Amino acid sequence: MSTTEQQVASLLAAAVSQLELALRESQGPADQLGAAIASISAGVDANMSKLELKREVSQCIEALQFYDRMTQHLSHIQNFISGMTAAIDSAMRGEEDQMAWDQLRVRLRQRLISDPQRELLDLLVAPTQGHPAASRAAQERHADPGSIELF
Amino acid sequence: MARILAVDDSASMRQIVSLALKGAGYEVVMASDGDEALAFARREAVDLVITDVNMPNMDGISLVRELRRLANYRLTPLLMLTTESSPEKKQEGKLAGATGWVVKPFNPERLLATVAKVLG
Repeated sequence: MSTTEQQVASLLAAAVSQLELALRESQGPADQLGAAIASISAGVDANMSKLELKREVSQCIEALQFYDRMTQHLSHIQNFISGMTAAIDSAMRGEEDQMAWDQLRVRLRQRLISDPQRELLDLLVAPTQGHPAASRAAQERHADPGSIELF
Repeated sequence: MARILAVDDSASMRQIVSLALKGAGYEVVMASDGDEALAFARREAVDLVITDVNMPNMDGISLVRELRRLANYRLTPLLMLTTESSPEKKQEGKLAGATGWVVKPFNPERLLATVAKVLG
């Protein structure tokens, strides 16, 4: 298998894994949302206190955001695959550019929104040794979901 | 009670943010992108703006930059509510004039505590 074919294979595997992760990451919040709604429904019948009701609604609000998160993740993967298509096209025309592949990987990594997403990408497509942008991206520390920082 | 402008291109996110804020008694007005939000801000004042970053037409950081140019928005708290979490993006927001950075998915209680804090 040529270098280009190997790169394509590993990037495709990375895209597939990111899709699997997107689906997996949304399962928990979807289950949480279902449980909170079931609790509210039961609670309304049983005259749940206002405080308990507010707590369950708060759970719903947090869990419901999974849809927005998942659509963004899928959109990043879609852009990544489009970028791959362009890179493969260049490679097939003999315009192989190692830096383009690294930049593609770095671009996806920067758009990923959780540590599990980034760690999965690093596992399947390691940064090229000695590429400064790739190593910087690998060392980047991102804020945790739900974190709040006032400037 | 304070009036808050919530900006996000996702209709479901606008509903979710509105639900969290209205539940605490805030008045909420909404916009679906930076252009719409800026057009609104040129006509009316609010006490706080909560905006997404990645939006069509005008992104959230550009919106913050433009709002800071308006006389009645120079001191208005402007919170970013976004899935973006890179240090570079946060720094960009800070330099544009953002008051704070909230990474989605947000916890409603923590968001409300932050809103109360920035509204003083």
